[in-house]
Amino acid sequence: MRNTHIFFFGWLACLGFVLSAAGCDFGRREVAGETRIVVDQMGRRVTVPKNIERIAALHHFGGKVIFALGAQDLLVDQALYHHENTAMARINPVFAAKPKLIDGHNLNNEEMVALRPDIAIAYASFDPSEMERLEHAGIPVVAIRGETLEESYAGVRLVAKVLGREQRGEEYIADCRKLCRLVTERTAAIPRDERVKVLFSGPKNIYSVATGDMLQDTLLTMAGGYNVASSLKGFWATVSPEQVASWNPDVIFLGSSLDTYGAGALFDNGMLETVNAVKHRRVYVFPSNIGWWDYPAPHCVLGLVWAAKMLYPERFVDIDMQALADDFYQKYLGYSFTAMGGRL
Amino acid sequence: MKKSLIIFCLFAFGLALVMSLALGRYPIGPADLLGLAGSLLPGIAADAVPVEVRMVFWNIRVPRILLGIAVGSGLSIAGVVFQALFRNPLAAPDILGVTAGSGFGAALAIMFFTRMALGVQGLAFLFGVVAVSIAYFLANRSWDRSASVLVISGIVVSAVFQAGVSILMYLADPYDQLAKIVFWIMGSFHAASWAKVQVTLPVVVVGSLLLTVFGWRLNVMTHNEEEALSLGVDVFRWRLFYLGISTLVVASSVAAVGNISWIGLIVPHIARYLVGTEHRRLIPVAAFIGGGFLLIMDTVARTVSVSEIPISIITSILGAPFLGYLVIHRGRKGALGVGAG
Repeated sequence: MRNTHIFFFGWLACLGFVLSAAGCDFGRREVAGETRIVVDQMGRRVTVPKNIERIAALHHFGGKVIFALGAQDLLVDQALYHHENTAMARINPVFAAKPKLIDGHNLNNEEMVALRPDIAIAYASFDPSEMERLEHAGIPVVAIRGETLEESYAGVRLVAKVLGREQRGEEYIADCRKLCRLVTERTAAIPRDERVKVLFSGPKNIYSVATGDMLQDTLLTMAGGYNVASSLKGFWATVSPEQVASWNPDVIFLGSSLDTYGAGALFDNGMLETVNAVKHRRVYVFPSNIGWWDYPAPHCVLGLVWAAKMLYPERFVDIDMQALADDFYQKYLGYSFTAMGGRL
Repeated sequence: MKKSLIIFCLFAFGLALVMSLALGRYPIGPADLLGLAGSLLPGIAADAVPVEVRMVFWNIRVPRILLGIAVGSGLSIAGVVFQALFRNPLAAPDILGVTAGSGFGAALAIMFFTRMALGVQGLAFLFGVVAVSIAYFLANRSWDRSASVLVISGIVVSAVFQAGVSILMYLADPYDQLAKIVFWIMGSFHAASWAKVQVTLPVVVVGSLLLTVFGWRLNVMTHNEEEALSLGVDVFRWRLFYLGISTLVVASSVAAVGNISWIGLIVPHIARYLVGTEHRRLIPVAAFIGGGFLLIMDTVARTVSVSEIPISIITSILGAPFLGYLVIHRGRKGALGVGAG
């Protein structure tokens, strides 16, 4: 009987201790030194230090912007993802030695705090409670978003302002705009009924297609094409094979370097043999093998030029895509496209 | 069985078949449909129908319809068998871990064996069968040889393979492999091709026929083991027979189109409310209803909007209320094993 009592009171004492600890507010670590307030792209007011020496970027968009602003030396994590990460790690030992904070999965909070960044750049789709946890730990989080080109320019401006590199930011944006103009000058006048009909297939399979709400739709339109799925809403809509046959696109772009289906798999697919793009062998994997050109981030202007050249080769004979990519990569990622192992 | 019921079933099935052949996102008019039907007859050339229409019809629509009927019937028959063997109206064909096993096989193929022809389907089938075999042998080692031990081993095996799927999903490349695994597990008929029909249909048809022919023995199996044994029936051997065949049927269905679990649970109930629990009648009726039901659902899924509606949403929304209706209006026919006939 006595043992039971001891056990019971012991248990009660533990519970009381835990509850009282939970009731305490251990407070948040305040941002040290001189600060200022910026409004990020989610409309949050964030207090950031004026002098930033350590940056964590938690999404490929933020990572690319930091590289483009020439601030990659300040990064505490690798901040490039997927194939781009592999390519950069191959060529740059300093980069390779840095930790990966997010490997496509969840953020390791403790490791993040241990790296003591002055600021973290997140994407607007991040879990708000995660951002709050980081801010409690004294790491201000600036959320950016780039679902349209203009929005991504605003993201670049915001990060440039936070880092005090406004001029470099404007230079980057001007270069992106120049590439856009290069394309639209030659394609904007093409009337609707003469535009090449394009289907943009996503990562799940051939039948998951880019809708009118997505950046891919904007790229296709600017490139002078017509996205056959532009009337659809949402994010990667699934359609039936008959719908694809009925749309009958002239060109199919495959959204990333997919291994379970590539252009070859489409040519052998009996269900698609009536489709013009398959009949005329106009199915292309969107570049590149070392990082996407069709994802939200200003780098997608390279994808725009590439797509326009694929749709209207005769209008872009003078454009050497590889050379153009080399220049852009050299300037805004530190190594040329070719040097990083990039292929179109 | 009442003649009127047979006629009604056949009529409903025929109507569903004609409708599904005529409907789709690719416009095929009545004249072309008649032309396509005519081209099956000897002596009539198919030239009257444009070649695009012919290819869409034969290469996209027809294989999908065949696969829908086969999978619907196969899963429904397996559902009847499982509910009888486990004497449990909630037993679905995935109770022994076939779905979890297939999911694991498919994820494995998506990640590591992408170059293999029919790799995803082949490994999904293989691991579905492996999962059920493990569950069976696990239960066999127990001193308790009742069906409930099988259910527990099924839960164990499912849990292990589901954890396996989760591990693979954690390791998967989040930008394309992960999306593909999730998509596969959700189940869909879009990738229905002749190649899939050729490897799925024989297993499903032969398995379903065997289960139909030997369905009479299930009437005894729904009693408890002692009763069945006292009637001189080797319960354990028959159980292995039924489990083996229905597992092959379910595994090849799941391997072809992913997980469509609702059908195997609900259709046996609908069939039982219509014709009672005599298995010689129950199995063919369940096959008909299951085939027709899934065919209609898939026709809705691929026709009503530009983007496809996931099949499991439609089967649940339209199937569950129908079962509810039957529960209220045909309650006297009883549930499992009672009031046979």
